[in-house]
Amino acid sequence: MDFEAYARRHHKALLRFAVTVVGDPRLAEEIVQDVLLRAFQRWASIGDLDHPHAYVRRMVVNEYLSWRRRWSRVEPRAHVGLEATEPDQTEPHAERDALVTEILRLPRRQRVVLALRYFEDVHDAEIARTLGCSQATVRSIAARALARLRIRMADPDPATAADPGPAGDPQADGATFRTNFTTAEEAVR
Amino acid sequence: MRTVHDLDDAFCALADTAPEPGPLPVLTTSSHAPERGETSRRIAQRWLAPTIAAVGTVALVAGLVWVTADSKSAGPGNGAAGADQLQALTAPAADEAPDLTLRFTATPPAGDTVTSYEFDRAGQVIDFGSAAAPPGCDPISGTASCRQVAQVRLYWANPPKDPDERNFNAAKVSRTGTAEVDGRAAFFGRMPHAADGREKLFWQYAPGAWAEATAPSRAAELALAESVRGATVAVRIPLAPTMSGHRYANVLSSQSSGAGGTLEISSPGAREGGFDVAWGNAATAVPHGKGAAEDITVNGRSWTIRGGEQPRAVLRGATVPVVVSSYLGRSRAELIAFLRGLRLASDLGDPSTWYDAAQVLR
Repeated sequence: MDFEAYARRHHKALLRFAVTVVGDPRLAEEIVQDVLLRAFQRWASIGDLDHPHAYVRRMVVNEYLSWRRRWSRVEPRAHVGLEATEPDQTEPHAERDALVTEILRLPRRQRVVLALRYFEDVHDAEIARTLGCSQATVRSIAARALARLRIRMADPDPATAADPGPAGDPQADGATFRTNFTTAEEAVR
Repeated sequence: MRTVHDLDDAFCALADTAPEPGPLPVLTTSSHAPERGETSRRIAQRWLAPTIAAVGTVALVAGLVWVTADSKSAGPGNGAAGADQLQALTAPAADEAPDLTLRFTATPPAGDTVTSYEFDRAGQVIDFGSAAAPPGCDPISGTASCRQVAQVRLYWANPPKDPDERNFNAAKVSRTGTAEVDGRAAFFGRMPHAADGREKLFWQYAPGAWAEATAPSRAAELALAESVRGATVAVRIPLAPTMSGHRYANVLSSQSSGAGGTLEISSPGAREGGFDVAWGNAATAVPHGKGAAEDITVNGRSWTIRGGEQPRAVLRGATVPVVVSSYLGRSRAELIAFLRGLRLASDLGDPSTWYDAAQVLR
């Protein structure tokens, strides 16, 4: 598949995925634009991969988690007191909107894991490769995020049920997480 | 209790806010094979401006959280006599640090207090929230007990043109109502593409200089906006990084309740980040790393270092938790070198010994 065909096919999907992890449509659009520009430049290598879309999606995650983006973000932070307002119980989507708000308040890595797992239906092994961590860590991150969002699993995963909790996996959370994806990007240069 | 289906719905609702795909520069200009130089120029144009700004002394500077006894007199709710004339905030030039002395104050909503101060390339911010922050309050994710309930942001006046068009533009706010603040025309509206879609109050606090207030209700936003006045508040932090041969390329604060916060520091021009320093409540939320522990003493302070690829150092025996985190690729040796250049307040539990952020984050 050449780059143009890839972009035409996946651009919208990348944007939708980026919004789920970034939360800000404008920033998501900017990230996707930059990622596609970089992918274009390296398409001779990326296009030969078995799953170029997975790779480009990883680039989006990496770009979002990168310090440069955090530095350049100057939009006023939006985490202001939604819980202080009374939810409109007559609004049919009030609960969904409340959940969206809570998703946006998750630590970035938790949000990325949930978006990959439940929005993109990516297996934990691929999520682990994306984030540069173990599958156990992915499960732990997901378990914490689901607990924070008060999501009940219909079919409890024994692995996540065994999640040791905040003290048991010190890598599973935190603001300073870095992926090793730069290394992966280097591999296709 | 929610289910995974609720999560699916929420993610779909979030994804539905994605903009329609616009044309890609590479496709609009070349359906043919890319010309390397042409593409490089386009990419360079996108990245050059932020990179130049990053190489400046302080690209994004965040302050925390504590006001000295001296500055408390000018702190929120206690504007210093003669200092309440609100002036337009001076925008930093592209290669300058923002003004790290807070130049305004406001009266918090009833029952709340200041939870953090923040300085960035857009302006200065005061966040308000619950006064009671339990130990372990995660200022980044904002657990229920430490969330903000209100915020006032004053934008810099006449900021330099931003090639990424990140400067506040009143014309782009979707207006939902009109108001008046201190006799000046104001309006309620929503920022374009704001993640939360919250309605805020916008007004010009000085000619050509805009402000915004966010609170649980319009009435609260108006009260908050009316309470904004000039002040001089020194924001103090318990540590002073002195990276020899480096300058700060990135300093960020988290949301914070009580005495806590984070700084993020990178070497100018470096693709990868450098170190995060978290203290107080923010430090309690940082994992301490895996692997074998190594105890070291640096500048008379004892640290425990863990982690291989991403080592972290935890200050031992401190009255205020401090954690220094490396970014991936930073070695233990680099972390230790950073610790050698990190000055800590003589008494971390005594804010009177802390440093003035405006002085040490240069």
